[in-house]
Amino acid sequence: MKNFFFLLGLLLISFSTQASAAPTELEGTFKLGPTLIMIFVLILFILIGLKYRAKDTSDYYAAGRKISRIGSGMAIASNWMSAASFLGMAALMFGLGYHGLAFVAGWTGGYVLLLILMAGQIRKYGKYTAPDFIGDRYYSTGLRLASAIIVIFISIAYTVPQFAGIGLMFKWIMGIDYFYALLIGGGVVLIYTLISGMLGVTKNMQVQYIIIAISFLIPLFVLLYDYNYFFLLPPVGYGSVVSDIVTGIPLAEANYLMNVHGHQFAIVASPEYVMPWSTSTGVSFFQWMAIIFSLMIGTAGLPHVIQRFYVVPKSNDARWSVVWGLFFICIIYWTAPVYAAFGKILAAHPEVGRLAPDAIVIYTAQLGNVHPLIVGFLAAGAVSAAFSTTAGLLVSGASAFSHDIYVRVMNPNAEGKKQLLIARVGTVLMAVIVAMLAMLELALIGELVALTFSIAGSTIFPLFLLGIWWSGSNKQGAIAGLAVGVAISIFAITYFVAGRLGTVLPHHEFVSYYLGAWYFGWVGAPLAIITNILVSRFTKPTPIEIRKFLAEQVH
Amino acid sequence: MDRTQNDYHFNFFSPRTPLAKRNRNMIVWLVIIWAVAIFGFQIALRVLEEPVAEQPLVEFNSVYERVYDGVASQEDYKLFASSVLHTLAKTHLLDNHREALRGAFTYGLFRAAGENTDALHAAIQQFQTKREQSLNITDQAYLEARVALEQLVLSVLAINPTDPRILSAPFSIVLEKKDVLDLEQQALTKEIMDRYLIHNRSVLTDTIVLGFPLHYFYTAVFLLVLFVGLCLAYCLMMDRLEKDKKLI
Repeated sequence: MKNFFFLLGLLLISFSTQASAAPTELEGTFKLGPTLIMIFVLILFILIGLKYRAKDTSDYYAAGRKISRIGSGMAIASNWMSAASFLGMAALMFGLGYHGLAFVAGWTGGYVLLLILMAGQIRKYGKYTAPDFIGDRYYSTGLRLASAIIVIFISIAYTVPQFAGIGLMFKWIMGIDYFYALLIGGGVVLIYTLISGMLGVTKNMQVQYIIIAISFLIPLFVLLYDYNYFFLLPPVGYGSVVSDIVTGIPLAEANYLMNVHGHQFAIVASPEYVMPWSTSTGVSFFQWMAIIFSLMIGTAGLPHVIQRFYVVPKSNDARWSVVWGLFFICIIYWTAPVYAAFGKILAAHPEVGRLAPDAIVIYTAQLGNVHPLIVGFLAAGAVSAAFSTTAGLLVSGASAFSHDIYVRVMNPNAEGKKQLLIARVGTVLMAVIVAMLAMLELALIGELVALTFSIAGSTIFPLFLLGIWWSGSNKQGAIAGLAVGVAISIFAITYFVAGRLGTVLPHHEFVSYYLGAWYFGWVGAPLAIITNILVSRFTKPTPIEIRKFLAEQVH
Repeated sequence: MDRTQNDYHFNFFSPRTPLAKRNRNMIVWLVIIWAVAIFGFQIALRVLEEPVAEQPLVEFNSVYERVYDGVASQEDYKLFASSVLHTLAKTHLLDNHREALRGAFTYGLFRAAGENTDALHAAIQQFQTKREQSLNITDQAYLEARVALEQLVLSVLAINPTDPRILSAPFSIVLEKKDVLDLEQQALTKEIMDRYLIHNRSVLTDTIVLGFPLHYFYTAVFLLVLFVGLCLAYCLMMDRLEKDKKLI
């Protein structure tokens, strides 16, 4: 094995000279250096997955509950750091400027809620999956089934943009059509998930986080240094880049700074990139607030995020893993806007043409004349980000399928081997559905991910919040609340899909504005919570065993 | 409801134990800080902001009526075309808006050209021919044609040579639209200029902190630090609390 890595290293070095001498093509050519780096990274993941592969159901679902706080924090960060974080966030800021920061703040602020309202309590409750908790807490097989279906739906919806990200990166690296790139990339991530299971996934996630962080940060130091900004601390150093975009960079000051095409590092004054709720982006103050709120509650309701708390030994470990996880996440989130800001300037010349926003991170590094191998490593990081989240999501969805539907509802006496088989069949089915949906290219990666947050915020979040903090929330209330959350989700998604297909439904503009696909959670969650409370107040109380368990074990 | 049914009832606001009560108090304080920090600041931003026009819009507004009425001077056309070019040079522009502005720019440019009209026409054709013929953007003949056109537009519009908007000029000309700017285009041009050149600004956006506009720094950097800080504070307090109660 050592020989293999040694040979691969030699190959990389030998190709680095060749790669750096080659003319830079943003798209459409096969890139050998990046391909080798990606293969190296993928082989590494599979080897780790094999070494730590799941041996039984406890391993598969909850990694044997042996993961340390920092390790779990890294896994949370890696699991979280999807294609949406790595690629999509910069894309949103590149296109929408300040509005994109709603996604940055929304996707991090939700962790505060998750920590103080849920993390420790979820671990104390001691279940494997989100449907497990819901079915047990609300003493309802129907709710377990319903929540398992929602978890599968969320996992699929969340995995679609990850596959899209994987497809984009494979397309960029291999210079092939998006369709084939998607098939190859999707196939690789599926094989990897099937081989490793969650224990492998958790171990892999720690390695993946390191690769994600390093690959994401190195080009930023290079860009800031090359273009004469303060490079030692990128999250602070790019402040001047942002201010330069507002005031504009004249040609005379920039005549020795070029992008890879030889265009000067210059831009006209573009305050719309920085100023809040600019009419040029078409996004309003209301939408900004609705998005940030929906993303935050969605964060606290995403099954694959909640599931991370089951893998730590104790409840205070669950809490600390959130702190570490958030810190590791913020390292990337503090710096993602740097790519968008540099991309804005480096792509300002009309000759650069229109760039796919979802690949702006890669394009920015390329346009900034960062060494092709570093760009290749960056692309491998993007693949890692999409891989880690996809694997976690597929496991989460497969768990819901095999554990919560098959074992708990259909076949309670199923053996461990049978459960694993069902989990793997579920994984394959999900991957096929996801690949087909990803081919439709419905929206930007970040936007598609935001949609799942609203679904989770309107359905799962209210059940966890009230289930943990109010013993009075009963089965009937939960069913009613969930029904409202699901109804609002279906309503908003119907309008979104209809809009994409060119169909205009009644009051389309009004609904699309106030119940936008990225932020309908601002209505869905409060209504689901109110409904749950009202119905619970007027129906049979929660059984005393549940209340006793909550009072004595969870609080 | 009998007595048994009342046992073990709890909710967030009426905790059952001193530990739970202190936990609740911590959560309440953290949620207040969290909510004010996130939503309070954005509301303040909204309350304080004023719409401010970019200088090119001020110039555009000073001449566009005369241009539309056909009574503008050559200087008016220069201002008109250069202000429209400023918007065209922005990277974030919808396709239909870019198309409309190209027409307006070309119209203004040719009226501002005066005695340079023929030279301008020739330079544009030369550039467009070379652009079609060249295999890539580093082709020398193409580059020369592009720079020649840029220089000509610079002199016609009297734009500062260091102004980056000139880089967009060669790509913003539509020869077929040089003679007419109809009423629909006129209205659309004005609408687009307002849309892209008026920004919400306030003391929060114009104050610079560590190189950033304050509001941008607050949302992109400080809020994240605060979130980590809040989580850290909660964990430390909970650990202390549980240690006091000998739970860990």
